[in-house]
Parts: sequence; structure tokens; C-alpha cells
Amino acid sequence: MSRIVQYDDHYFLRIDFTPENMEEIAQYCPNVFNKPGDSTDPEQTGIIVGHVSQSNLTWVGSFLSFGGSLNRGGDYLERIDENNSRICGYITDYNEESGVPYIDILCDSSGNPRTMSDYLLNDLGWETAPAGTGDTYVLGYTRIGISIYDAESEESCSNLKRTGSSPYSNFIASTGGSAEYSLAQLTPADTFEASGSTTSESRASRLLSNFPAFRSTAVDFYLTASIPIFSSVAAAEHYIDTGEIREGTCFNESSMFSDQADEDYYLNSWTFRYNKSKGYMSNDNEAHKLTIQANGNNVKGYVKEGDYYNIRLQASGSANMTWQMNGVSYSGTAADFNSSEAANSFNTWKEYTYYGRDGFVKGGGFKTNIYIYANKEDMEQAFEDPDSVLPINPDDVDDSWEPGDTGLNTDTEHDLVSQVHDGATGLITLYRSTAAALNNLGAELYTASQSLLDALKIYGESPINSLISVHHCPINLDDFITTESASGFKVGSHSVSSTGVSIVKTYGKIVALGSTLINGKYQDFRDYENFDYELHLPFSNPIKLDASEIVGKTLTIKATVDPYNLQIRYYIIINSVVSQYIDASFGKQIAVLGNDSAGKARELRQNIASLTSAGANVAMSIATANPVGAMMNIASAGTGIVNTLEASKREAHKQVVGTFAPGCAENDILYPYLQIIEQVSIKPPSLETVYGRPTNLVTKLGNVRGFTCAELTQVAINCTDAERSEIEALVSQGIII
Amino acid sequence: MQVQIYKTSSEKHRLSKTLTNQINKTCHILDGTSITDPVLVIGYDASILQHTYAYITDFGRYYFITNIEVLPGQEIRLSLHVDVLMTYKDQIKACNARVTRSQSNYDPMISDNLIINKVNTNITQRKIGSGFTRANQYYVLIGG
Repeated sequence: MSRIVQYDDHYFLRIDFTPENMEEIAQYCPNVFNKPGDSTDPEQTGIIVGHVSQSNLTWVGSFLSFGGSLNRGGDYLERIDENNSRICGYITDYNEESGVPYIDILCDSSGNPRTMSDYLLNDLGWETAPAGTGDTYVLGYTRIGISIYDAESEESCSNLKRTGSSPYSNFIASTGGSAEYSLAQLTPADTFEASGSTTSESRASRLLSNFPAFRSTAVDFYLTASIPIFSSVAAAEHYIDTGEIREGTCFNESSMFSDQADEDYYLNSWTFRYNKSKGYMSNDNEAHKLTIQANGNNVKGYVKEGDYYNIRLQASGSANMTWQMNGVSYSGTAADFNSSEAANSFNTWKEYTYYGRDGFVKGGGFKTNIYIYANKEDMEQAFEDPDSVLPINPDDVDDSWEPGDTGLNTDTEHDLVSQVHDGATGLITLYRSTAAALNNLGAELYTASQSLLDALKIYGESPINSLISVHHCPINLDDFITTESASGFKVGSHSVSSTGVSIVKTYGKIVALGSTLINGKYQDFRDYENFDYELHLPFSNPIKLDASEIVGKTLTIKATVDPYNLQIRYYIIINSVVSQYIDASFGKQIAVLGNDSAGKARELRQNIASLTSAGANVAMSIATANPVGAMMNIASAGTGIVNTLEASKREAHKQVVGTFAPGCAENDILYPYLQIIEQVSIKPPSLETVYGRPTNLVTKLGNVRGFTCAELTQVAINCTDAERSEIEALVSQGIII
Repeated sequence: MQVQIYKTSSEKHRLSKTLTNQINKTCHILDGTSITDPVLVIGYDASILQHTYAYITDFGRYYFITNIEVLPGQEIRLSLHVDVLMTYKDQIKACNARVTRSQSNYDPMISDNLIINKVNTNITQRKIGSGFTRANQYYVLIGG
């Protein structure tokens, strides 16, 4: 987790800045993510980025918060989706090594951290060091920040945004630094005030530590929040969408701060509401997080089928206990807990339950260290004799191990970043044009003046040969490209003035088209065996998706466009992994007559689709007054056109060079959609009771309940051989325990 | 020999039966009777005719009454078959086994051939994002 590096004539202990390494970070920087991130109040996010920096003999401390309201007591933020209680942030603009963020602690050549007093006295030549500096370490060159906005996708990933109108304000406070040989220290109070001067300034939706190299007491390095802060945009987005905190992605998850003793419990679940009239709603409307400090009491649970809130918990014991549900704390006896909302109304999943007129709640699952039993009777028996009944989530199920693979796991969606490609090269220029502007261009080209002819000498006699390609585009590409307004077209060195023309400056943006969370309908094998998923993308053939790859996962569609050829590449992303990409073409290429006698036009033209024997429809002239249009009034093309032209001998070596791009369909539905085909099945309502359901459990028969079929291979019973055979046969056919 | 006779409406394949209406009787067994399929003769008692279950202390086993014959001379002959589940229920519970179907501890992700597919299908379509907006534009690539 740490290693020694050398630069700037000093040694530094380079420490990974990751959630898994918070224990080591806290040794040096106690004010980094030092409180649980369980707040859901946008005005109290508690985000602070601060440090004390040194310049010559002066130390200055400053910290930033999102606070900017008049009383400076709250954050100037608000929730974007009021129906989603979750808010969060993520770290940004950090130093990294092989993709892993780090901080550097000043140390000696052996890796022993250097104290502040040692640094002040020996490096800076101070005569004395302030009291207490012998116990603090020096933070080296470090750069990191917290953001609520994804600059790449230009949208929020945190369900937060700045409030109100200008001026936006962050709260910045400075402290100390006025006198030589004085050491500034940060002591932000709850209202974010500190001694020293204060200012407010406009900022983007990020709080960053200072960019230049700085040395600080590590204890004065502040990076903290009361809301969850994640290590990546993807993890933040996943939390907002589903409520799930992926392991190892959150710096300040609540469970990291509870003193987890053996008797402490947690139960996290994520659910969503299905609205039958409006369609599936993917966002989780309720975040469910319960932690219990039982202080010696025993807590168990069971599934109460048929209820909206269908996990019931029960505590047993004489101790007072405390519990936190969705950030709110409670305390009481075991009886108090048993009558509380936490015990009786904790929303999680077992089976669909109709709720209300609009729909019903489906669950994504739950994670807990509380033993959950199939029914209340089993739970009560488990309190008396834990070994006599098996919970539905026993410890030794799916006991996995690390295979020890080599290689670095990667979050490929995070690596899929927009690029900037130039749309104009100086030799050729891509224009976006209205039909009227194109008419103007056509008229100029077909009635070429001498100046135009002179400008196009390189192309041979025909000005039309300056047109390399013309495409009709049926969709708006503003999200994918950048354009610059132009006064007209530039043909060679000749200008054709016209309104309605702009130059495509850059392309290469990757745009998120949308995402959907696909939860299983039955939460059993039928979600995989009985469902076919077909993804329909605009201008593309349907794509079959494997149910095992997408059930229980978030499907995201991103795209990038090549405006030269009107090609689109779709990225199919499943749970932040770029699963596959699909290429399609859209729009239609307008055929342009060209003089190919010199062969120059063919060299200059881009890769235009060739004629096909199936018939390539030649576009009619787009310039209605164009005399060529009258000549080209032909219904279908293909070799017939070439032969006709050749036969007419009007002009030698003319050929049609454009066709409709294959697969384009301008009347297509313009949004992606997922077609879900379900093979209807019948599950008898009492199947579990009458016949049980499949399992692959090896256990004592006394640990299970109800109808049971089992293979007995170790019949250690004092009975006759005939009785033994009968027992084996009966158990195999099914008994009721 | 003593025999306890009961009524029970519990399922035959239930491990632990609920027994009611116990009647204690003295019986004699026929020569050569099996310990797992004994045949007993007891004195006539009309109330026994509705009973279906028995326990023989000397044999240490529970039995289903498989046949009741009324004999001449005011006697009833009972044919019994051992109920191995009730007799050895504690030992059976202590046996390790590979459970293949269970009411309480099943894995919903394992295919179940008792959940039968029908021939019809349901088709739904879910929109993903708002997609593109229509436009009527031309992209022209020109030399120069």
C-alpha cells in the first residue's frame, strides 16, 4: 500500500488513496473522511477540502466548502431528483500512479515519516518549532478534490446541483499566515467558520486542494464529507441509481465507522417501484440501510410473505441497544426495537407484493449479517436452539476464494472518454447545411463563374467534382459535434455566400443515450431461462442480449458519431463494463454526378458505397432548378444508369458515385428500446409446500423444514436392512419434516 | 403384549405424526409374525375399528394399521406395517443428506421442472433514454 519515492530532493512515503487503505491514511491524516457519509440533506453535505500550505516562512491555511448561504451555515446545494433520497460525491483531479490515487508523506530514506518540527528546523531553518509539531507529520505534494458533477458527461452523477442564481458561491476561509515563523492550523467549526479572513468566490461544482506543490501538517489536510464520497464517477452513479455501495468504492461508508463487534448487525437493501401504467421505473426510490448495535442482544429475522415490507426482525436479550435506519438514530430495549419501524417495516425483497393502485415494489436484493429464516416459527425456534433450523442465508453458502489472477481490473466505462477530432483539415472541410443553402451551392456549381473554374483547376473542368460527398442527416448531431457558424461554403479558394451554413469543427464526443436497470421479474431461474432480450438501436438491426449478462444489472447505451460518413457506434455497457459495440450507418448519401475522366475525382472522393445489383436509388437533384435534375430523372439505378449514360454519350466516363447507405432508415424509431419477450410460465401457488423447490444443500435433515426430498447416503440408524431401504426410498420421494 | 392404538390424520410421509384417541389393549401375536409387519389379535372393541395407527412397546416401533379383520369369537385381527419415519424420526433428522428439493431452503436459481411453460408469450418494450431528435440537415464535404 505504500512505497518510497524520491523527487524534489526529498523522500516521500507514497500511500494509496483508496477506500481499502483508509486505515493507513488515517494514521497520517486524521481529518480525511473522518465521519460516516450517511447524510441525505443537500444543505448539510459537510464537504470540506482544506490544507495548510507553506511559502517561505509563511504558513497559510484555507479550506473550501459548498457553503455560500448568507449565514454560512449550510451548503449551497440542492437535490436534482426529489424522489431519490440519495446524494453523494466522488474524488477528482487527483495524482495517480497506474490509475491509483495517492498522497505523499515526507519521510527519510528508510521510509520513516518526518515530523513537522524536524522539517521546520532542518529544512526551513526555523530556530524553534511550535509545540505539538513533533507529533505531526508533513504532507508532501498532494492534489485531490471532491466533485458533484461529471465534467465528461456534462451531467450530475451525484443527484446534487448548485442552488439559486448567480453569484454561485463556495465558502473559502483563510487562517494564519500573517507572521513569519508562525504555523497556521485549521479548525473549522460546524458553521465552517475559522479564524482569519473569509471570502466567497464563484466555482465550478468541484472543490480542489491547491494545485502547486505544498507542504502541510498532515493533520491539517481536510478532505471530508457527511455524504458518501466514492472513488469514481461510475461507483457514484451506481449508488444513485440502485442504492448499492459497491465494495471498496466508498471512502466513508457508515459501516466503516461503527465499532463492529460480534453482536453488531447490518441490513442493506435496494428496491425500486414498478409503475404499471407509466412503465418500468429504474430509479430506486428508497434507500434502506440499517445498522444495529445490539450490545449483546441477539437479532434474527424472517420473511413475512405477502406484505409490502416483508422482512421482520426480532431482538432478544436484556441489554439496551441502538440502531440507525437511513441515517436516523434510535435507542431502546429489545422490546422497543421489536415494536419499531426498523423491525417491522424494513423494505426489502422476497417476492412481489401488489401495493397500491399504481404498481408494486420489487426488490434488488439484500445484504446482511442477520440470519433470516423462512418463517416466524423457524426464527423463534432458532432463538431457542440455533442448530436446530437452517436460515435461508447460512454462512457456508457460496464460500468463494480469490483465484489469485494477475492483471489489473479496470472499469472500462470510466476509460471510455470523449475525444476531440478535427472536422476541418484545411484540405477538405465538412459543412452542415440547410437544404436552401445547398441549393445556393448547387446553383453556383452548375453555373460556374470563371473565378470558380480557376479556383477548381485542380479538379479538372467540372466544379461539381469539388463535392466529395453529400449526406442527408435525419437527426440532430449537436450533442456529438461542435460547429462554427459560417458565412457560406468555401469551394477551393472560391467562396459561395449563403446563410444556413456552419463548419463542423470537432467530433468524437461520447454521449450517454440512456440507461435502464433490469431486475428479474421472478427472482428465480425463469428470469434467465424464460426471457429473451432484444436491444433495438436506431438504424441498427435488433441485437440479442444474453439474459445472464444483464439481469440484475444496469444497461447503459452510449454513442459516438462520425459526421463524415454518418456512421454511429453504439457502446453497450453493462454495470460499467463496455460489453460490446455496434456500428450502424444512418441518413442517406446523395449521389453526385462526377467527371471521372482524369481519375482525380475518384482519388479525392471519400469511401462512397459502390453500386449494387439490388438497385441503388439515385437521389433526385437537390437543387430544384438544376438542369442536371431533369437529366437524372431515373427511378432506379444500378448498372442500368451507367449503361444509359454510356449509351447517351453525353459525357464520357460519367458514373453515379453515391447510393443509399446500407441499413439506413430515416423513418426508424429514434430512441433505443429494449424488447423483453417472456415465455409465460405457471408456478403453482403452493408449490413450495407441496413439492418443495430445487436446492443443492448438504446438511442434517433436521436443519430443514417442510417438504423435503433428499439422497441419504449415510443412514446411521439402528434398524433392519429392510427398514433402512424403506427410509432411503421415502426420503428420496419426499417427506415432511 | 401391550399395544397402543391411535387415530391419526397426518400425512403418511410426515416424519412426526400427530396421534390422538389413544386406546391401550392387550394383544397376542400369531406364530412367526414379522417385527416389521406384525399381525395382532385383540378382543373385540368397536371403537378400535376407526383407528389407523399403533405402537408396540416391546417392538419399539410405530405402525400403520393396514388391515382390520373381525374374526368370529369376538376378536379383531390387525395387520400392521412399520412406520419407519415416526419410529426413527430423531435418527433420521440427525442423518446427513443431500437435499434436492426443500420447502424451507431452496435455491430459486436452480431450474425447476415443476414450473411449466405455456406456449404464449408476453412482450413488453422499455424505452432507454429519449434518443435522437429529428432534423433535416445536410453534411457536405468540400475540397478546400
